[in-house]
Amino acid sequence: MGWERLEKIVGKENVILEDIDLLCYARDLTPYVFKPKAVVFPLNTQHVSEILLWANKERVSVTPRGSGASFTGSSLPRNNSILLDMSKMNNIKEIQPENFLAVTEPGVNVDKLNKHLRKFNLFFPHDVGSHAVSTIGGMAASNAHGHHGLKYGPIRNWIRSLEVVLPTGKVIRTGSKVLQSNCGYNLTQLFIGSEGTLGIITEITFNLAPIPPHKGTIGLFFNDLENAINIVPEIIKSGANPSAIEFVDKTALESVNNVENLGFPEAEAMLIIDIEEFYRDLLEERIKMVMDVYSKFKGKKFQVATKENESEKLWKPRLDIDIAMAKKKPGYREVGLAIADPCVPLSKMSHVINEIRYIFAKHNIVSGILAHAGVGIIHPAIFIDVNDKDQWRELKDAEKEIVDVVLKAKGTITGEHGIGIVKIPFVEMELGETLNIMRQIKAIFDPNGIMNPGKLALDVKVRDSPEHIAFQNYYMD
Amino acid sequence: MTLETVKPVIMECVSCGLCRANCPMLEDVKLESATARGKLIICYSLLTGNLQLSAKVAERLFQCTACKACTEVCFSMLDIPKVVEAARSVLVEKGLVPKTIRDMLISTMKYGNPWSQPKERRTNWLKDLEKLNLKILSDKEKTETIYFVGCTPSYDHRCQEIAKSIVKVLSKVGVDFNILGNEELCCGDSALRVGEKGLFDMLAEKNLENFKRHHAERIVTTSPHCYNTFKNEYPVENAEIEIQHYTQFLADLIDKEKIKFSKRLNKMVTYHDPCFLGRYNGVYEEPRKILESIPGLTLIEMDRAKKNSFCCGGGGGRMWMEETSDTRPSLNRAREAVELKPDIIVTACPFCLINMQDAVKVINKEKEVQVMDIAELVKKAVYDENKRVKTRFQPSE
Repeated sequence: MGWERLEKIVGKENVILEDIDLLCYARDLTPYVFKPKAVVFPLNTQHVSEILLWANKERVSVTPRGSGASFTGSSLPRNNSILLDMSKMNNIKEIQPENFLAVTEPGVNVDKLNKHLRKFNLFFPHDVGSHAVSTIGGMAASNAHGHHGLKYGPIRNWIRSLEVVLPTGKVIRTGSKVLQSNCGYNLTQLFIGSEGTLGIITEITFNLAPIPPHKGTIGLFFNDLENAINIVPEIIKSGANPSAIEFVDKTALESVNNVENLGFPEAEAMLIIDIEEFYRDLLEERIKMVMDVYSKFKGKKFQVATKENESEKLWKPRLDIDIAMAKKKPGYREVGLAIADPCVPLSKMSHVINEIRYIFAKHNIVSGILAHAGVGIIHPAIFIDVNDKDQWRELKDAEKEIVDVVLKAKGTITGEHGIGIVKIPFVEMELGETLNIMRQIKAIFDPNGIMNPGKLALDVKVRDSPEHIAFQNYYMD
Repeated sequence: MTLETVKPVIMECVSCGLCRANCPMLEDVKLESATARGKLIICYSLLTGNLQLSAKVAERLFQCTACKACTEVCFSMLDIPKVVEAARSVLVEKGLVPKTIRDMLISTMKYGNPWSQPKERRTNWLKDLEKLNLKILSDKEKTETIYFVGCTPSYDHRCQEIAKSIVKVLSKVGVDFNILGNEELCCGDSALRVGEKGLFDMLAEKNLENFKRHHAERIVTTSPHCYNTFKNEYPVENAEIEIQHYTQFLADLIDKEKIKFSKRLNKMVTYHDPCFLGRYNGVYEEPRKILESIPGLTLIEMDRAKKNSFCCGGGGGRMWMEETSDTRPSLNRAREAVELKPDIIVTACPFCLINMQDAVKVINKEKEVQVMDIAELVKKAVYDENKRVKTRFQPSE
């Protein structure tokens, strides 16, 4: 299949054809299995360009991959694609502290970048759940959003410029390295979140921020869910400037609290609020602002942490639900499908969360509800026995009902993870005619449709196919 | 053990890929098959019949140091090394193990140690020790504390220095302890990790018999591997015996002010956490407490320390495999350590000591940095080499 050409471009050691190795690239958090035809490691932009030139000519589809930590199947190689593993393009090319700017290759891991940035007292503040492995390229291609997105926003707000290789092999640069550029269409933003369907990002220029030295975490406990959600806009209005307001429902709180013996009070809901400041007294002032708001909600159960280990403990109900559920429900595992990250207006959050809980209860689905409450992104953590067809069927039914609730609340089916494969059946419901415009845009960049096929509902309308499901008892759409 | 026994763990993996972080084999091999996710996909494929056992499967499944870095970052804290062990046990049954591993197993079975050394030479390391308060236990003699030397410190020339240092320090302090001498047998760690459960069970049975025959109340080990094996892998009857790594034992003696340091060691050191001491057993503070107690010693931490420590590559049976790659775990770890410009890289594990010392040579830093075990530093700081006395102990040949 022309592997010699690829071997000539990147070297034999960077073209993987062994079946056993290919199999290991076939999975992510979704139920899907797509084994690549080959895994290729480009080492530089020239390699990517030559690979795409060849692939376009041979009509071989190409799927780029960072660390394969997607929740959506976005980096699974559908349609017999070859997989471009970008992890060896991992150079930090430039740091300009005075311009708060970094230039990296796509395979740079965000934690390693931040370790490198410490000496400049700067950081890249996008702490996605998979930060230990996530690559800057993967985060850009999926427009990642970290736990502290309330203050720092999604990654798209931070990227100034991209180098992208188009399917023709042509290398283009979008945007500018300066802070502001109004020169024409904003192609940078077009490529961010495009999940590798338009081209391959080979260099990213982005903003850096000074590291706030003082950090505090507040844990607030509530006796009813509505208060926990209604307080969120009040905290934002108070001027306390939190970097994160995270929501944890009763099930998640109770599970982690019991399994890890954290000693937190029983509650219907918990909020975890992070504040980051440059002065200690300002931090204390901001914490007081939050507590003043909480007192107006007649809140009495709270914990405040200004030491790292204490903060880590307060974050556990938000981060350790999988550990707790593994012990509480042996044989169950987390699955996301299309309802892992809806985003709704803040004013509709409590309504939507209550509806989601009602739907899960109706379908007997084990779940805990987590949320980036300051932003409106809801993360239902769903646990099923993947060997039980009935549970898959119930989950699929619940999925449709939840998408309906989210769209009726004028929300979006994805505030964070993107579309990939899992959300394909619901994209047209949200986008309508706009999806056709997206398809036209795709055709401009990629007329032969070689770039990451089977994603974003651009070229397919179905997500499930029997030969590409990992679990024997999966319930097909 | 079969793959079916670990199927629940395999099924629980959500394939999120977090296990890519800090995986020593991924940093070396660069392929997903090196990660825990990759290995669980391979195991799942073996279970479903999508993949058949082969030499290639064996090669991938032996690319694991059992360091538990993956478990540490895993959302569900899955015990990946146990899955790898189960998979390897299937390979052992089929004879699909690397030659060097097979040699190690044969040696362990034949000689009671993985180093292909005769049993009767187990105590040769004691020959040049001076008169110490040390006894080799006779057949049914009772003792409270057995110092379990371990195979590597008994036979490996460099690691014998660790055992000698421990014996000297304990004798100096006046601790009443004994060793098993030539009666000592491999703890079975390597056999277990490569999937030879039958051999492991046999060694465990014999070692437990030994401990019971001497009415041992406490076993102190040189190696974190022996320590972990006795503590967590041996049958429950062993629970009545207190198992300690020597760093725990020494830290306790320092707490009780029984160890008094007479010399300053004006050195900057960085401590490499052995996986089977740290991640497996949470022993992070005792080694540091010892180092911080030694006058003049300054401890600087690597970025990857304690629960995030980066494996030297010696666990999970990898100690017995050929390593030639320029990105093998020990080299990556040594490069990380020398960045801090310490005088000494300190560790508390014979495997780590051998690997790190070799790595420092390979990266041409041996003139700039030493590699030592904590026990050697303690000995230097407490033991006056000039006051020698005649031995009354005669080790067997």
